[in-house]
Amino acid sequence: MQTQGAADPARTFDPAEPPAPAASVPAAANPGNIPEMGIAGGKPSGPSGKLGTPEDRSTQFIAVQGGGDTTSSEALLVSAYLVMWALLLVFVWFTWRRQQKMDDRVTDLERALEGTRAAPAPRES
Amino acid sequence: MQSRSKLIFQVLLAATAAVFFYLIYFIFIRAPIAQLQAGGLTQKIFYFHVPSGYAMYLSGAVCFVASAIYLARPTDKSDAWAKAGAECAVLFGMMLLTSGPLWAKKAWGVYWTWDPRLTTSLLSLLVYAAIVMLRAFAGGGHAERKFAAALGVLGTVNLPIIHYSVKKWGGNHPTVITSGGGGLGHPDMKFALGMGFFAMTLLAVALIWCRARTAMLDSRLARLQEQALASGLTNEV
Repeated sequence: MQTQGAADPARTFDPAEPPAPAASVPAAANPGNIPEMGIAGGKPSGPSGKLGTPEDRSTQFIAVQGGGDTTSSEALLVSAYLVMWALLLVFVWFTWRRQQKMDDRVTDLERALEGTRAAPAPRES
Repeated sequence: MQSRSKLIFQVLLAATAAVFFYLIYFIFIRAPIAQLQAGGLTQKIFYFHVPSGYAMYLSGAVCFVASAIYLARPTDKSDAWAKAGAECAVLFGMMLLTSGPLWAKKAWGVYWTWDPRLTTSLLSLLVYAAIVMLRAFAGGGHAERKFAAALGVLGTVNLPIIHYSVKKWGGNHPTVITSGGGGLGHPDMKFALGMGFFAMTLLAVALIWCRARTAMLDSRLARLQEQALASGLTNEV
């Protein structure tokens, strides 16, 4: 399966490339070595060429390949089955209710029409 | 409903329920999880998603045949089956196009792309939705029925296009079925998909039958109301 769209080579994370110098991102600020927004593979990302400055973080977002996927598979799977069953049950419920109403109406009308036919025609004086 | 056809319908419903119970057990307990690139756990949506698409084709085919018969020789029966086919095609189309994006979110990272198969499927759903809307809001006169039947015939042209769109135009959509079913790497996956097709066939037959009966009852009710009006039963009408 292919992913949507081709990745921009300028933004592609290259694992062989050495990480950015420690001085650019203080270790204390990023203890888990997690790529920050605005830093793709440790390369300078901002227009100013500075790394991880407050200005960069507040003015642009850059896609990071291999970023944490927060969508839960379980939640998507359960949602899909819930939606499908909900659609089906609503459809069946409306069909059943409509049939009940129409059955009752047809029975009433047939009874009324039979009553009209059975009743003697009014005498003309 | 006649007592014999009522019995057949009840047996059909019981069989459908039993097959669905077994299918759900098989999908969640027995069928293995696919590779992460295919969505991992969310790939299990596939066993309902693909049969939903097939059920939409089936309902569309019923709509097409009944609409063609109606155009050739208009009867209440053919109109009822055409209407039922369109309604069930909308239901299965909605099931298809809600389950697919949830799987795509995991496999592709996005809910929706304007992929040829997704776009043509959406187009078909809109065509059948248009038929249902037309019949619901424009009344049940002969002209409306005829127009809906023409739409039912023309709308079906899109169904083969959906099927072959991946081969013709590529796109993101997987082709494990259209490539001969060779993409299912485990016998349990193939069995689950086969069961899914069987279950959806039973469900589609039961629902189309049920909706056709409702449509025929609707026609009968309209005739009875006319008779009642002619007999002077204005209060009952």
